[in-house]
Amino acid sequence: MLAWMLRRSFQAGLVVLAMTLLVFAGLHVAGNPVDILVPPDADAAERARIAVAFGLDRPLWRQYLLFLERAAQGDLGRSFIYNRPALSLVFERLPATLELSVLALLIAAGSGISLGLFAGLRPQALLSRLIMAGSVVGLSLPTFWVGLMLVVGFSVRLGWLPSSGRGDTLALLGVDWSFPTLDGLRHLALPAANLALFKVALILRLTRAGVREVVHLDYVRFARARGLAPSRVVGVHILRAIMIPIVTVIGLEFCSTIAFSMVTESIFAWPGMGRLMIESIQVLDRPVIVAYLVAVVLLFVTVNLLADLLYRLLDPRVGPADAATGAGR
Amino acid sequence: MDRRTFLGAMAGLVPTAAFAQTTTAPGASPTGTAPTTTASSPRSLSIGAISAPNSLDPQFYQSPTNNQTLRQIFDPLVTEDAEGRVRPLLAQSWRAVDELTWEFKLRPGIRFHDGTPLTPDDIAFTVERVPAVPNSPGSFVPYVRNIAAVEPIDATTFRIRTKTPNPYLDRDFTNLYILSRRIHAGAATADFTAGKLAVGTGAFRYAGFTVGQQIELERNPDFWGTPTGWNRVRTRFIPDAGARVAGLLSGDLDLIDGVPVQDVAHLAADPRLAIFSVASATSVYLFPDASRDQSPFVTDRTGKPLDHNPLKDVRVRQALSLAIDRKGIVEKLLLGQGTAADPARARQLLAEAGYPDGFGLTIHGPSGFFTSDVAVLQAVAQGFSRIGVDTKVETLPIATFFSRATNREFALFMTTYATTNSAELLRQVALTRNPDTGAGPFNRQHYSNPKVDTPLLEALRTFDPERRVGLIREALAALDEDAGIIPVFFPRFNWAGRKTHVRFIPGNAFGHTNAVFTEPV
Repeated sequence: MLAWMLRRSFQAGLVVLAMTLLVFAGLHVAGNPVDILVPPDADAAERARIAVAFGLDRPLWRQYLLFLERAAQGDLGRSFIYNRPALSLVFERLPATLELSVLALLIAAGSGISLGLFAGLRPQALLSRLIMAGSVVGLSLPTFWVGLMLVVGFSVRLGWLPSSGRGDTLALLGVDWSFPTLDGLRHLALPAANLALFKVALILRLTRAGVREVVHLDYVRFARARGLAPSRVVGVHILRAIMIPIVTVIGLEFCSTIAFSMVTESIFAWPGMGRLMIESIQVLDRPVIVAYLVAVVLLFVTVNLLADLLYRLLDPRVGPADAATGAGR
Repeated sequence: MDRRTFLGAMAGLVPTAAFAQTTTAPGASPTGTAPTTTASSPRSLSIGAISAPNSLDPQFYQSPTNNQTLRQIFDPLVTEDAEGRVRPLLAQSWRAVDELTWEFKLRPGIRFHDGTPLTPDDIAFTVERVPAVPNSPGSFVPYVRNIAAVEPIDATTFRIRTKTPNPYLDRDFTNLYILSRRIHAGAATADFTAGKLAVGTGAFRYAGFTVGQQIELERNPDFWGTPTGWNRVRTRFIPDAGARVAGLLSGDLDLIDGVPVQDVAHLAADPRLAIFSVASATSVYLFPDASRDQSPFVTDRTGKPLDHNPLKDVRVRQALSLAIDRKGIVEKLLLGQGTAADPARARQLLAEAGYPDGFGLTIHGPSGFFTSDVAVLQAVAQGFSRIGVDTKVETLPIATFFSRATNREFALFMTTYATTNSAELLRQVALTRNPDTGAGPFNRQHYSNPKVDTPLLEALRTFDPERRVGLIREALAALDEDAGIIPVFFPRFNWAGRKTHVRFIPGNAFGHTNAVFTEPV
């Protein structure tokens, strides 16, 4: 178990290293931040000063070695734009993205699993057919379009929900959160629904497929034959057996929501990490881009680790060997 | 607007007088705010702005976004109005005593938000602090580098001594917001951004700032000018155009900037809304490579690279300029006015230059940098193709575009420059580059024309206003004749607001969005 976790950490370290190398090389090819930042009334001396201030006057390999040296001490550099530690900028935006992702995932898991169970247990019912048809729509509509339609429908036409921003926030543990306030929840509703739509469709289809597969297996029939309550058969025997792929997908979707919810964050002007990333790419703010990607890689590794641990709880047959190979994406 | 009116308009914007600029405007309301409601009535304003400031330190980053935001909390000595004239603000009058000395008189009785009085020593402190701000991504140093000393004379009078003559010294102070030595000595950029030291003389006081999200301001009741009619102003930063428009339509926002061109008409038709608009000081121009013998992206009509550079020939550049359908661009893409192209004359010039069948060319431009930029470049290319110059268009995100332009990778590219002072445009873009003196920092095509340089350099040290304007006109005419840069048009800035709640009065030609330029209805 310990060896397995160590191996995982080592792999993660290699991924981070390769990623930083790629980002350094890629951004160097893309362009010079000084060209974007420099004010139009600057003189040549001012241009040179900016390059020196950001260390961009040195050759790229020196810049990279310097970055590694500082990173080893836990310093991922200062943002060119904000003159603040890049990592703290990223973490400052994390709560906004986190609450959005968690809410979207709760909506997706809750409605996806229950709709999927229904559709799987009563495949012939009219409602089941409607659910399945709806899931195809949910999977195929692009996020940005759905987001715009939600805004047009619920904010502009009906005026029920605000169109953008975080609304009132409440400080918990020194961090501002939107979800504890009513106004914040109203602001969360549309972007969370937008993020959740695709996931609802995905999870409900997975659930339904799983249910259809196990519902005819002997152990389910025996459980029924033993006279167990239908709720127990569904809730324990069926659900537990189909949870592994669903947990995997939820874990992965959770990561990708946190890391790549840029579209939704842009449409709803949600000040999360995705928007910070987009803005940083536009101005080649390398320290922030690197810090963001390092955080995202670590997040993926951690969540995968947690998902693997969860498998064990759900299915005792999964042992360390399986976890290392089967789930070691 | 055609090329000649463009340059004419630019020349017209040459600051009128240095010696004559002792103008005082005692009765003028310098903020443009004339509240129609009493101070007691609770009035609040919610603005949706396209871009977010990166700090609240007015000396951290010289950018339009930071300047427009901080203008609400801080004041400069003087300011530029929508016509580009320098107007009094904290300074009520000023004059050049001689070519190296300027004398300013402060408005008496001005206090910072915490009650600290403004003194001439604060101007000295402001100038001193500029080069001491660490890690600025673009500092105000170019404005103060030439200042030798700031010498207080009495409680409201001070003199500024410069190292070399600078007839534009007052203009250089329009973006320098005045700090207080007592309040801001030793202040770090973070102290401003945290709000602790976001203390100025402006019409609004700091009430909260979340980086990348919003800034909240409250009325400064002790403002030295006419206090604003708003009690509270919240500006939210919403980069997505659709989200800003939706916010306005749903009533979350009272005023938005950067209204997309395609939305102007339907927003103007909405009875609840009004469009506010101003001609901008931003000129969109093409920069051809007129200096190298060979240029990338220039081919013959079959696509083979040419061994010589047709753009070096002034007739070719003039032909390209004549080929641009500026009227079409402005009317169809941007809803405005302009004049027609002259493709027949353009073809004739091309033939005279030895290209009766034209040649091939790829032109470059930024995408998402200004309104309809890609469509404008495509329209330019259509004009070129019509006279036989087979033109392809390549647009790039700004992250790569400007670096490649600076590295001279393009034969001809499109970009913008924003200024109300044509001497500045010439100095930054058209003046011959010199790595030793640092001249021509944005002369990315290494253009060089002594007929531009000589009168311009003379103008930059000439204090006599009439002579200076004459010299600048001469330099502009030389640049125009040589088609060294090819102007395309001036975009307009548009705002949209709720008619019954807010009126927006654009305070300058740079498209700045802030509550100082608004009044309650």
